[in-house]
Amino acid sequence: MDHELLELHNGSPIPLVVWVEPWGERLEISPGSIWKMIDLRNPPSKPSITITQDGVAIYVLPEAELSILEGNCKVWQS
Amino acid sequence: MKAINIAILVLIGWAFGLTFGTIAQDGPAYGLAAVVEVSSEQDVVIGNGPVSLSTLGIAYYEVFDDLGFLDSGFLFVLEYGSFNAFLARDKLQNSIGNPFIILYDPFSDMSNGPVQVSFLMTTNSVTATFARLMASGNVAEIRAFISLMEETGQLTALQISQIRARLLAVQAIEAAAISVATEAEAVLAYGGPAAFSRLIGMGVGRQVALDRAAAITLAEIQTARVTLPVARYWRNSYQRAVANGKGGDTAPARVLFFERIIALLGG
Repeated sequence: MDHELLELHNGSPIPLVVWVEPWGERLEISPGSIWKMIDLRNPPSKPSITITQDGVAIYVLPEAELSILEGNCKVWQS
Repeated sequence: MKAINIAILVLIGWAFGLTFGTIAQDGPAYGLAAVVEVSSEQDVVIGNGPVSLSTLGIAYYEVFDDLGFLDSGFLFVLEYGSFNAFLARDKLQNSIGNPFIILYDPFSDMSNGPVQVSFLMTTNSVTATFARLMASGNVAEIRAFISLMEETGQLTALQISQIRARLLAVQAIEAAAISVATEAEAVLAYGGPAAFSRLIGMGVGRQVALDRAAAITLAEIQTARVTLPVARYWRNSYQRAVANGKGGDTAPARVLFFERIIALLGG
């Protein structure tokens, strides 16, 4: 079962940097875009968010099976 | 910079549940500031007590009700005095009595006890909880309970000394169990996000990992309670990330970082 962990909306006019931890993956949400983070595992992860120098970092446990979607389009998967 | 600030405000708004619809439960019923629906399966418990973590960052939390442990997880303290804790809705709805949250400072030894309790139990629930914890033999829960009772003065000194005597016996059993625990369980017990965050930081790239690899000391590693199994776990995780094409150029640097730790630990 898919579990939607959180939804990120970049309301700024410039790309928003998102670090997906603990993988150390650097992604960018384009202006105006909405991303959804899905965990395929059961029970799902509990994400933590930190504000970094250039954007945000989202942390889940390494066991998470994370998938990031923009609409129906897969942006990244662990 | 202004644009970044706007984005951050949007995120902070999310983090406090401002964009997530209805209030499912209000404070007095649960003794918490608010419980906000964030999805079909989870609620977020928003606490606004006197958070006294040593720094902003990741904290480990445990949720209890009158019958004992409900849930645990990691949360991020966005600012002093407030935090969000995720909780499965069915657990909250089925809770008994007055649920409360204990936060642990990730930058200190967890055995020192919690740093904040967002809601204090009533006297009537103490006896039932104490009996259940003693029967369970769960050292972490007992330790948290003792700290809570000491802080709130809900048990006498004699009662606390009796609990501590029982705790010593339970700890011996726990130590034996840990010695045969799997590597992953050891990581969860002693490493996990707090250790990772402390060691390498989050939301930083390749160069930071390389710099840290060059500068890290054995004393730092030992202070963080990172053991060989923990370091190997993280090294292996990043090796898998590299093999799977994840983590960009950061993951290989973190492999080097944890290999350096393993070497310092004599592995």
